[in-house]
Amino acid sequence: MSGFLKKIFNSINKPDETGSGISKTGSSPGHLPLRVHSFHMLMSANARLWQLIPKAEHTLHSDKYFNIIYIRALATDICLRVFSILKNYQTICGTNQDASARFRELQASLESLVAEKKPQPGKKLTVHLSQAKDQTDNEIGSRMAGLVRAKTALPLANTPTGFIITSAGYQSFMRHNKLKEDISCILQSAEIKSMSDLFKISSEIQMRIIKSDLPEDLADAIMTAYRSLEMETGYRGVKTALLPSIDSEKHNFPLELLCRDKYNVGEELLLRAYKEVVAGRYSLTSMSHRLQKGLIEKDLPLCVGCLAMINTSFSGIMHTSNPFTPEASDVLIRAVPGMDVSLDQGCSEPDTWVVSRNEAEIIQKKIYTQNSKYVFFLSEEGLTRVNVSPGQASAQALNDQQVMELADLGLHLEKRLGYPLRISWILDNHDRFFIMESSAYSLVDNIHSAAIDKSRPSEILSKGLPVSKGKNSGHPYFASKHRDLLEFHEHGVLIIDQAHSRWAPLLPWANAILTEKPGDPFGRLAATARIFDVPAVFGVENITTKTRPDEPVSVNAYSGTVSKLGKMIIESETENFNRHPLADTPIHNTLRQVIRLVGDIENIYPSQVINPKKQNLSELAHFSHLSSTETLLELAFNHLPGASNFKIPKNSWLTWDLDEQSDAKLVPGSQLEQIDCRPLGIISARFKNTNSIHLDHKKEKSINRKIVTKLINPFSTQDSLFDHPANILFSKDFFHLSFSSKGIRIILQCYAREDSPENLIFFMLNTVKPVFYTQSSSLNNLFARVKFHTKLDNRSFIARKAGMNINNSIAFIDMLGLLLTQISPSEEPDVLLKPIKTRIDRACSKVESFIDSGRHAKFLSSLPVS
Amino acid sequence: MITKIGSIKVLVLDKDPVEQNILVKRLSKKNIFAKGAESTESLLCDLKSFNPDVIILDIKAYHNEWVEKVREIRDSCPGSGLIILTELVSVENVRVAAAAGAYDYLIKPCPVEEIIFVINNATGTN
Repeated sequence: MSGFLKKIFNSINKPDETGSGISKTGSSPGHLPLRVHSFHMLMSANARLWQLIPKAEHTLHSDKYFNIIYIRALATDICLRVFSILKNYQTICGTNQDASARFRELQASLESLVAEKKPQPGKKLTVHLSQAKDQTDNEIGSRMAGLVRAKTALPLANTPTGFIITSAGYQSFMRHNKLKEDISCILQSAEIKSMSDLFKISSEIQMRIIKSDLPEDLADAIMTAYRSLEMETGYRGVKTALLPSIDSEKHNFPLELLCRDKYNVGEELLLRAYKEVVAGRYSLTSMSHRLQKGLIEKDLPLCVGCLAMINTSFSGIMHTSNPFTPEASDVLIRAVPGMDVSLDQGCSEPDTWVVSRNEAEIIQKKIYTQNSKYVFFLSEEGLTRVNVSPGQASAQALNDQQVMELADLGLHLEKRLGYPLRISWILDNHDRFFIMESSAYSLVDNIHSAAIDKSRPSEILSKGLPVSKGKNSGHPYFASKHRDLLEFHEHGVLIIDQAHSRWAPLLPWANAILTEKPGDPFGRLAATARIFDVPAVFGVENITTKTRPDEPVSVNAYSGTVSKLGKMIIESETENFNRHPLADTPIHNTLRQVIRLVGDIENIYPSQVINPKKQNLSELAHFSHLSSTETLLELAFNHLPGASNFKIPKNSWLTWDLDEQSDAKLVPGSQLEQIDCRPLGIISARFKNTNSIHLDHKKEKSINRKIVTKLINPFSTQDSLFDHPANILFSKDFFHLSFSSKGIRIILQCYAREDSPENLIFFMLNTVKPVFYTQSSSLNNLFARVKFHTKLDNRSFIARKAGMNINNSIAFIDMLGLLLTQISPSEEPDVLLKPIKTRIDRACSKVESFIDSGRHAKFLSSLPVS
Repeated sequence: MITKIGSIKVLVLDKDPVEQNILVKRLSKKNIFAKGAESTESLLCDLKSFNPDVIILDIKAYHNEWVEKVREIRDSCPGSGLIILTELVSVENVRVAAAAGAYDYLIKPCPVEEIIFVINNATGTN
């Protein structure tokens, strides 16, 4: 966290003379105007906090990608809000040392989880792979660090030998030629208006790097390491693969994907090839990424792995958790003859096996004809594509035993490292498997299954395999030659024959991309499309003949369909509750731990808010909110005439306008909906038997400056819903209700905000007796029907839904209001005497009937599309 | 065989002799009969004596007169494929080069595999 925030948080340790800080030493609460002001501040911070917590949870459970910067920003923001809540709470109620201490503990834990690693480049210019165990990602890059971790986890597994030109080497090179300053100069003086402008700058910078001299010590270090490699491998003039490796921890995909690899490089061109790999940091794709994502053009060290080439029979990629299946219960192996460059370039259909993780058997196999392969010849530089003999072309790359051996290797490594892996492997000409790369899943592995398209068949021009989801439209642009790279019309739909990575530079500027021939969904072009959020469909049959440059097309990369513009039916996106593609990766686990400290919304129980010692941040916030409200309520009572003996009558509630600070007023329960709390207003409308929902919130006055007392029969029903006073906490968009009714305890939390897609509804029903699991099928069915997450144990039922737009939030809150009225129907008081199961079944049945009747659906469909 | 094109002759002219030598070396290592032009002035003579299948030209070598030079090369060697490989990047240049008869327009730095791919296309080897 930044020094600024540290400074703020550290003020927690200092005595606050004004009584407005969270002081360790005792302090008395502030005077009334200060308390009132603090309560406003507390409510404001609380509202923001309840935007952030669901957002964090939604990120964890959706298929949204995130990185450490996102988590750090989120944790900092949450800490800041809770700090504000606690500080204002102590101004209202006085010092609470337990709460302060607990906050400090939690804040320290969060900080240790998300602390930024300071770049500490080592002094070694090169380091041998076998000696890189203690090097950080910053020193050798994430790609090489992944390989080193794999070797450390499985020492007996084969990995290539070689050395790494470290970040210290890179910085030495840049410093020696003042390249950093030169690049900065070029960028600052450039006027980037179009893609060709960026192309020009990219070319200029890259050539500037390539033509620069290597410092003597670096050149010596590289050549010395190379000589050692020659000795080690026993080959004079050993050929190497130069692979860029960048510390990608802060990014949601490996940054080197936007750079370039060099293969089969010998002694003669080794130094030149190193400079070319470094220059790849300024390729058009890489620069476009930084430009589009608003990343600062800072000198991110680029390390280069120099690995001895291995004579390769077959190679490929293995995913230890099949990204195509939501449950990820099997291993996906893809293989091509020769080097897997054709996979990376996306221009071949690999042989594919799916191996069950549990049963250790091949459950699916697809073998394709491979007409060509990439190989290297010792006399040449780079890789050469050669034809495969007809006999070999149709043979499967690996036999079943080899497939099982490879799957076993992957699962062993996954077990050792603790998260699913994407493993690049090769089978050498002695039938030995080598692990070439090993990394946690990232954005590039985020593949999805095709959805059903609702367009009429006649409207669809063609179909293919969606490899980067999204929808967009534009004029088709057919590219075949290199010069088309420069002539590409920005915002067009790029149409190419083969999914070759040479077209990747156009993706940041394209609205969508289509290929005529099938391509690899994990190839570089598909991965780049996902990085830039460009809808991509591969293998769209006859697309070059079915489209014309002057007729715009719509691309639906959910269903893989292409249609003429204006004919596509926009269907609403279905929420995807599948397993998160980053699940079990270190970054996912970090977010999970952060949420644990912040507080999973499912685990907030009002009964726990009394003792702050074991609370998480959101419970601390609850506790502070509740205590502040209670304190101000006491003050409200003091402002009532005859306050000492005053009791709130039934069907009434107490309001006190904090700004006016006049006497508190009793208000009939029928006026409850006037509170400027949207969720509460919707629910109370249900209790008034009002079927229409008041959607015009503009007319509502800003009443979140008022506070509500303990509510006794707050809803205007004849019979009591509540046995005991209900607790209601609310701010404008947040609502928390907890009450007990005849053996049932219900907690309802809603967050409904106009401009927030992170809206949330949480419903929990507890029973006194531990037999609930046998009785809740109707409740479970009801919530499952409206696609809530549900959780059930023998005492409680929890339903939760997040990530809704405001209209859906309102509709579901309305449904819950109806459910609450039905659990305790006023017209049939005898129902309350019936068993819990009967009451719940009856309530659910009525809500289901309401939905079936179409009134709810009509209401939902009448809402504008968000 | 797709890129084993030993019979193809390629003439390279780059403003920077170091870059020219490296490209010639790389193409030679890929079994292409590649040769660097002696100078910008002697290019036409080289064309006649070497009779290349493909000419790789950095138009930067001719500054503002590159369009005329491209036309001249096309006229003197109509059977050869002319590929531009340069740092001069603009849409206008690409169009003018195409109009003047260039087969394709590559931007530096360009991987040798891509250059070979274009050579193959220009000679119909692909």
